[in-house]
Amino acid sequence: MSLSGDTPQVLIIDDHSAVRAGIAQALQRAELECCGEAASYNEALAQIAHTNPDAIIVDLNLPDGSGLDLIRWVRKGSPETAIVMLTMSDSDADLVAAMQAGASGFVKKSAPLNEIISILKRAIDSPDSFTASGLATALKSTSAKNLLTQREVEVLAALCLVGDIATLARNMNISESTFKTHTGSIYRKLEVPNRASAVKVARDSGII
Amino acid sequence: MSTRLELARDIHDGIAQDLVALGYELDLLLGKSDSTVESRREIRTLRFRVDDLISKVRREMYELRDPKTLSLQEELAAVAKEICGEQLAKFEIAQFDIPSAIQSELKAIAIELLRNAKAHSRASQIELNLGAVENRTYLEVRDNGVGGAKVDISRLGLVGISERVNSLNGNFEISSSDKGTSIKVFL
Repeated sequence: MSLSGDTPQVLIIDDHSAVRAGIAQALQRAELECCGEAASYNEALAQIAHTNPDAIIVDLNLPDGSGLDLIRWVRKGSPETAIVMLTMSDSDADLVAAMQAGASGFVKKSAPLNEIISILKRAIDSPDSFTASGLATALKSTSAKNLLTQREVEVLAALCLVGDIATLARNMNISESTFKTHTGSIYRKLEVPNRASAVKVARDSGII
Repeated sequence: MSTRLELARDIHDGIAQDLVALGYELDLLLGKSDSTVESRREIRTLRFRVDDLISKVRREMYELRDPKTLSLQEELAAVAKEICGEQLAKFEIAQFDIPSAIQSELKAIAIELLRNAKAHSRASQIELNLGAVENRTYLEVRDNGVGGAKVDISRLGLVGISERVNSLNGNFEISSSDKGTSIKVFL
C-alpha cells in the first residue's frame, strides 16, 4: 500500500482525456484515489516512477506504444501492482494477451463504470489473479484456434456436416484412416470425447 | 493501409472514445443517490442508446481495419476454384445480402456438393450458381458427368446435405441423368 494511508492509489493511462475524466470521477466515488493520469506510454513510465501507484488502468493502444508492453514492464518490476487493461477491443486474443502479459484484469471500455471499478477492486485485492468477463470462452476459442492445423480445421468442418466418417473422408479425397487420425488429434486438442462435443466446441468458439 | 482509410479509422476511433466518455457520464448520473426512479430509467435508456452507438461505430471501424474481409460470395468462388480446379467451367454468383443465419450452413453445403461432384461425377465441367429468388437463397451445383446421384443410404453425403437443408426448412432438388447432375438447394 502507498504512503497516503489505506486509500489505494490508481494511475489512469489513456490517451483520451474525457475517458480519463470519467474514470477519475468513478474512482473518487468508489473511495479510490487517482494519483495521476498519463496520456501516453512515455508519460506513463514517468508517472509510475513518480507516484508508485497501487493500481494502474491502462489502454491497449497508446499513441507511442503498446499497453501490453507497459503491463510487462510494470509486472516485471512489481508483482503487487494491480493492473487492469481497459480497451475498445472485444477480441479474445487481446484478452488472452493481456493475461499473459501479467494483467490482473481486462475490461471493455464500453462496460459500465461500476463494472470497471469492480474489476479494478478485485485486481487491487488480488493482483496476481486475473478477472475478465468472457474469460473461459476466450481461452477456449483462442487455444482451440491456435491448436488446430489448417487440415484439422477442414476435417472439423466436415465433422459438422451430417454423414458417416467413410463418406466425409471420401468427400475430402483422403482415406478413412487418415481422416480418423485427424479426428483423434482434434478430439485430443479440443479435449472432447466425441464428434458431437467437437461440433459443439467448433460452433461455440467460432472455429467453423 | 491507405492514408484515407487511416484517417477514417482515426475519426471513428475518436467518436467511439467520445461515446465511451459520454456513457461514463451517464453512469455517474445513475450513481447519484438523489435521482428519482423515473430519471434513472431515462438515464438507463440513454445509456443503452450510447452502447448501441458504440457497437455501431466499432463495427464500422472493424470494417475499415480489415477492408479485405471476403464476402461469402468471394469465399465461395475461391473455394470452388480450389476444389474443382480446371473442371470449374462456370460460376455465377450474384451479389446480394445472404442472411447471416444461413451463411455458414450454405458454405458447408456448397463445399460438400462441389466435393461430391468432383469426386463422383467424372464430369469435365462443374458449375456453381448462387442467387436470390423470391426472398430465398438458391444454390446450384451442376455437372456434365455420369449422373446417378440420389439420396440413398449408399451415398451418405447427399443424405447429410438433404437432412441439413430440411432442418433449415429449405428445399433440396436433385435431377440426375447420364448427361449429368444438377443439385439445387433453396434456403
